[in-house]
Amino acid sequence: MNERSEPEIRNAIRRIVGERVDDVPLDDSASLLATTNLDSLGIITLLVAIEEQFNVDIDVLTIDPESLLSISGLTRHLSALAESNGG
Amino acid sequence: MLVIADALINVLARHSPSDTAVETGEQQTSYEQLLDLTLAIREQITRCPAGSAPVVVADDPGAGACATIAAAQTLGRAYVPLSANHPATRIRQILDAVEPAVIVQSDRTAARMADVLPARYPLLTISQQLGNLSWARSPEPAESCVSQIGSDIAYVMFTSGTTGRPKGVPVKAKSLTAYLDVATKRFGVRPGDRASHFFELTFDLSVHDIFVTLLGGGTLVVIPAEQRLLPGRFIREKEISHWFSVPSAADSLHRVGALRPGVFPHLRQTLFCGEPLRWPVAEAWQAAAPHSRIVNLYGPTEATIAISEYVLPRDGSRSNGLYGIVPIGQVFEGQRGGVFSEPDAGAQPNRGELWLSGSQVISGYLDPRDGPKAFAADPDGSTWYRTGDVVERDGDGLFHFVGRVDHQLKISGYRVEPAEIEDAIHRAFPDCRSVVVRCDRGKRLGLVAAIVRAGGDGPAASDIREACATSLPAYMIPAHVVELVSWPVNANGKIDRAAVRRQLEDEIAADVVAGQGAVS
Repeated sequence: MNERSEPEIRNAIRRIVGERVDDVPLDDSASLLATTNLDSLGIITLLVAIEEQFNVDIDVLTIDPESLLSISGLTRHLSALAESNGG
Repeated sequence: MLVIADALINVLARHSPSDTAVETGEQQTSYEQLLDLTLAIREQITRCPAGSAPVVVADDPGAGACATIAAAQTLGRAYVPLSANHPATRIRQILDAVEPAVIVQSDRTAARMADVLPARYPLLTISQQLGNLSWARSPEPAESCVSQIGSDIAYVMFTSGTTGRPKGVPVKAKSLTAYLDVATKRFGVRPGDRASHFFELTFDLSVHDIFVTLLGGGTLVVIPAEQRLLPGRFIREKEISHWFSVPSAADSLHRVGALRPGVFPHLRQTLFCGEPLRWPVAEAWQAAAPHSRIVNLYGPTEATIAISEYVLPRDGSRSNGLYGIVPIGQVFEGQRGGVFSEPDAGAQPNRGELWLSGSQVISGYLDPRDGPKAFAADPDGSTWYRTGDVVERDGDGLFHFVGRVDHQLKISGYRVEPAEIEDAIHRAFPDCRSVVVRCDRGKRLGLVAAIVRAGGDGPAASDIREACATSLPAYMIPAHVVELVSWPVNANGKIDRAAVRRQLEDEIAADVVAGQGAVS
């Protein structure tokens, strides 16, 4: 994964999410499943797109699945991955 | 053969009292506690005078719901599950249809249900600490009501209907007994086993979770709602030995690359049911769970949980693969399945609509106006249920799912009648005509509503989704709404649903006119 700061990661995720949801204001901390038109299939394709664009593996067997449902949770997770890769 | 009325409670008493019956998060309920709770709920239910009227379970999955269901069974009363996540309109439609003797809720769901449940029904609340029961509303009903549901019914499930309201499927105790007789022998659990409780109570596959696990003396492990989408961590951390879910759950794990070899070492049995299981997903699951046998089950709610099975070969062969889908196999012994096709249709003789008959098959809907054509009388006096599923029977006698005779869709295993969604949209926006399809490729996946409006400004996608949310459960709300200028039509001038779907999947711009026909 390229070196990116947390705000950059957050913006990139917001952009990927924004391409997939109806034109609604995005709340970073809210569940995308509950507050946008993304359904379960939409969330899965979003995760796959994020994995491809960031070139990372999101290991759903070890992280809390709930944290994958919000922009904040995804940002936290990808920032941690960037840090461990960078260090 | 098992006899369900009274059997479950006796069986609960025979299991080791200190073994865990139900595990929800950190909370563990032993068989002794579950039995005590069942007896306490039963005693309270008997205070409601309404004859054999059903018991409504307005609770999330867990020990309280299990005890309520067991209590209802021992009193010879049907249970009817309600989801606190469903909209008020739908909940009231169901209550009007069943006229229950009592509604049993928990303090987890009470707040969500407070403004929804009509005051005329007695309402019993189970506290989080379990065992603590209190009447939120008097056991004496405000007005006398007569339920048409008799003591021969074990449960009533409501599925999507084509008439614009949910369709009640009453399943008799004898049908449940017939299913459990097969299931406990073939897919049974034993003390020490840890079985998943994946399904919501409003989905009939939850009946399997609860009865098969508790009859066998295993531990029923409730999956938290937020982990259903990607249940891999749950399976590992909870050391689940018996897994049962819709194939979507496996499909999701497969898509994100989580089904790595050996990641589910504790699994010994996996059951899938509710929608087509794709071979690549089944094979990845087998690699992830090398010690598990995998069984693909099939069965509409009308045929009691599941009525056919296909056990996947352990040698990795898929000689029976048709269309990349795992076969639905053969119907259980004692039940009958037949392929019926129109004689003049020129179709292959081994391909047609699957009809089912036998002790597991219901004889009619709660409201006879629902699907009068769904049942056919056999000259021998038995009833056939026309599933609407198109199947092909191969040379080995195995059934393969091919498609539908009608427009019914499946979303995560839930049956969805597009007509019910289209009706909800039309009621909110009379100037809009809509067609709801399921897209499997392209940018818009899942349920998509295409709309064409007669004139003026059309509603925004969010308006349509909000309108649907007032009467439909979440899985029936279209993920996407696309406005078309006009409908593609077939040779008869009718809306061509397949062409609508192809337009949406091919990502043709919403305002491009494909076809010149008018709305039929």
